[in-house]
Amino acid sequence: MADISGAFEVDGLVKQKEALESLMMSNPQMEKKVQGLIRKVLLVARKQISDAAKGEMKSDPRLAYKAVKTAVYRRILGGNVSILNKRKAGTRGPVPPVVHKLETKTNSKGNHRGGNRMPRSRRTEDLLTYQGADRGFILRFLNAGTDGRESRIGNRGAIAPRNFFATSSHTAMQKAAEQLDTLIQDLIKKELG
Amino acid sequence: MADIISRLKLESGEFDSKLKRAGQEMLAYSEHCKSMGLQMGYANKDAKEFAKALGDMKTVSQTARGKLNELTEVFTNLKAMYNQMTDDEKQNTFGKGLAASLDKLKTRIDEAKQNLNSVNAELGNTKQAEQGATSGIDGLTSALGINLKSLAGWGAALGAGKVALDVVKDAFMQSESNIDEWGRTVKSSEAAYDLFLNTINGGNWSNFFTNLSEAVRGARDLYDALDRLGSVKSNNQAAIAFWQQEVQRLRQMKEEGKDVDEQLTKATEKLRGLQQQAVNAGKVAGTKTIVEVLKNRIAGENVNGINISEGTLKGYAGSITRNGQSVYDNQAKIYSQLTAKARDTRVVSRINAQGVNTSTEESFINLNKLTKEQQKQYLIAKAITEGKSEIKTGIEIYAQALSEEAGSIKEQIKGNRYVLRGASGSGGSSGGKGKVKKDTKLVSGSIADLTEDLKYLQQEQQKATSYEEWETYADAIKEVTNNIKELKGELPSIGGNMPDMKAIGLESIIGQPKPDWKSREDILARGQKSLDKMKTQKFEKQEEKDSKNQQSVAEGVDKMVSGFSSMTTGLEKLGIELPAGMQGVISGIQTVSSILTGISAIVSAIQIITAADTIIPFARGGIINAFSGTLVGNSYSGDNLRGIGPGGQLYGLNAGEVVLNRSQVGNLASQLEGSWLDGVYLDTIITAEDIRLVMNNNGRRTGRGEYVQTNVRRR
Repeated sequence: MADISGAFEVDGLVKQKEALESLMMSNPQMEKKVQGLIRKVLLVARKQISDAAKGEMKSDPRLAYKAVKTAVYRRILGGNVSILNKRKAGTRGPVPPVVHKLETKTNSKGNHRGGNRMPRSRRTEDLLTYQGADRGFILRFLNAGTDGRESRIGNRGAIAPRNFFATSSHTAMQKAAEQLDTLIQDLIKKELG
Repeated sequence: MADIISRLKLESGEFDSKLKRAGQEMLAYSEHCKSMGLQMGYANKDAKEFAKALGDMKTVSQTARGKLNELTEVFTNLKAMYNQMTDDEKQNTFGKGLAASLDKLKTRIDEAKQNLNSVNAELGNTKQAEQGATSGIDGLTSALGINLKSLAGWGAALGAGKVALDVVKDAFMQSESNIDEWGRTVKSSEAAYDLFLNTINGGNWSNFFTNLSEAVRGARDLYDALDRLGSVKSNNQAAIAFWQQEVQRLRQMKEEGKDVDEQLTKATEKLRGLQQQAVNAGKVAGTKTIVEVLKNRIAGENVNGINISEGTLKGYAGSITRNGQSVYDNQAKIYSQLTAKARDTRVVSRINAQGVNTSTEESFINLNKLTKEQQKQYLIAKAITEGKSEIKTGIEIYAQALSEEAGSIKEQIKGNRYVLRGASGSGGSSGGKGKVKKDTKLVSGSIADLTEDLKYLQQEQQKATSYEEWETYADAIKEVTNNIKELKGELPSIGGNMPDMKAIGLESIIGQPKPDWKSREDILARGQKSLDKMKTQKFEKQEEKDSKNQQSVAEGVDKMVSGFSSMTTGLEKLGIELPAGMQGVISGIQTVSSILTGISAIVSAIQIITAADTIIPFARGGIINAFSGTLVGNSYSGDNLRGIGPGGQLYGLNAGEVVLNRSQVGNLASQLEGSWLDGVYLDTIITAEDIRLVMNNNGRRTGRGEYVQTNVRRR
């Protein structure tokens, strides 16, 4: 009988069987690769949701759209995209010293160059700069809206809910799932080939 | 609360279990195939396509020469491939294996050539043997089924695991003992592959291994049956030709008046016997093919292991060959009824690639809802309904055998009639020897001869062993009965059926062979006699309702009379000598038309008038199909409605053909000239939907985008 090695003998089929079993997700190497693919597709989804967030705001000087975050799970094959991330996206700048009320230095020594060179208080600093947690907060209240707000002076109105996250994430995640399917098939072909 | 998190999850449990199962089943399948004498391997995309083509492959050649041609072709292709390989490739296992196979092929070819040479030497036909041994290369997919490109692909893909699992026909590499064994293994590989495909489609693996051996065995039996058919046909060919020649020679001697009855009978029987061998082999092969198809299809679907015996399947095969379409219709009905009965629903949970768990209700066929008998009926009905195209092959083989049988029976009847002529000539004792009169024509005998024929045929019909044989005798009896009636004058002789048309020389015009003048004169004389009779006969007036038909009949007769006149002129121009009786016939018909008052006499005397309403009133045009009880109504070929036009032209029409009158032809012509739209009015209506689509298309094309309607939500 002609020996076309591997193709027509049982040994070749044993190798084939091993190749198939290496594709199983219970194999740690395969699992790691698939997690990498999940990360890849989630990044694409994040971009889409961020663009949707950008579209909801006329101007975004604080770059609140950066609050859309991804996470890939360690123990199961999966991940998420959210605006719930409480991790700080950035670091605060140098924090000015706290100036108590009783220690106001409201008077500055003006000079010929003009200007108020008083150092800004903590509160002022907080109000005028946005950090990671704050970005997420902005997106959340834009997404969900607010009830009527009132200050001691008067009604400040309500913010209408945009609900941008639900619609954009639904589309983005579906696309991500389809892409993941394709990527896994390509991975299988590559592993077998 | 609004969504602020969206998750993606991948469920891999089912994926893993399927992979594991696939690997295990592959090994088990391989082991089982090995035990059947087959081999299994994996294949790349090209090889997969090749294996698919393998399943569609036609039957291997059944003749010795055909097999030799196939071997030669494959050898040439493989040799070419081997020569293209590099030295390294030739040294690897694939190359060495290929070289070994080439050597073995060469040995087989030499053996086949020797076989063919010995057969041809016996027949004295050495030249043909040489030609048969050197056939051209027609393509890569020969009956061996080896695809050159795919083989090269296999060589390149070694060591790589791929996803397709196929049954590989390895008989070429493995079985070199003889050509038949190789052929049988090819056939069994095909059967195994068919069963494999059916099982994959059906999704039931539980019976697969049980049925695999059955499929292989059945395929080998089928191959044997087909092989025997081919062998019988090729081996008997020379013998049949010899005995046919012998029979012709003896008939010729009989016509010359020699006493060869006994030899003629023996020769006819011998010929019949030889032909019957091929017929029997064909019937067996045809039936087996159908049974095999049914068996394989049932095996792939038989989830509950219902026992359906081969005898049952043979019965169905016989029914299909006898009753044809009605069996299919019946089984299709049963199939749809039982499918409706067995339909059930179940809830299936699936995890799709997106990791989403979905439950759906799906419909499936639950055979457990049927009784055992119903399951059996269902399986058979499904196999017959879905296997129509494969069953067709078996039907064709069977039909071929039947037509050969009918032909051989006709030959035998003819031969026996020849013998009988000799017996009646000597005094009427059937089977006895007798001298044949010198001028007696064996074809057109006297009434006494035909009566003897009729008795003989009726006796033989009683002895018939099959329905086809009985039918053949019935046809012959009908023909002889018609001849007797014709001679007795009970049937119209002038312009009656085809023999009378021959008698007046028309077949010379329409290309038929000229009959003998003497017999033509006989018929003309009879015609003249019946016309003379009509002249003196008193005709009774028919009922009122026939008055219209009488007029039509009269018109028809007039046309025919003038046609006859033109025809005689035509015949004279052709130089055909008219017998003396012919003019009398024509004048007789003219006399008839002038005294036309009754229909029945005309019916008996004129060809195309066989019923009172047979004259076709084509004043309004029409389709020839509206005459019940006549030759024309069911006759779609043969130009059986014949007549002579006013200008002497002959016409022959069939049912379903259309005759157009002048105004209809005018309408057609005006349509062809383009005025067919006259009188056609169109209204154009554009809906808002169309406007929207037009706007969107325009927007897309010009880059402005679609016109999207939005609803503004208010809080």
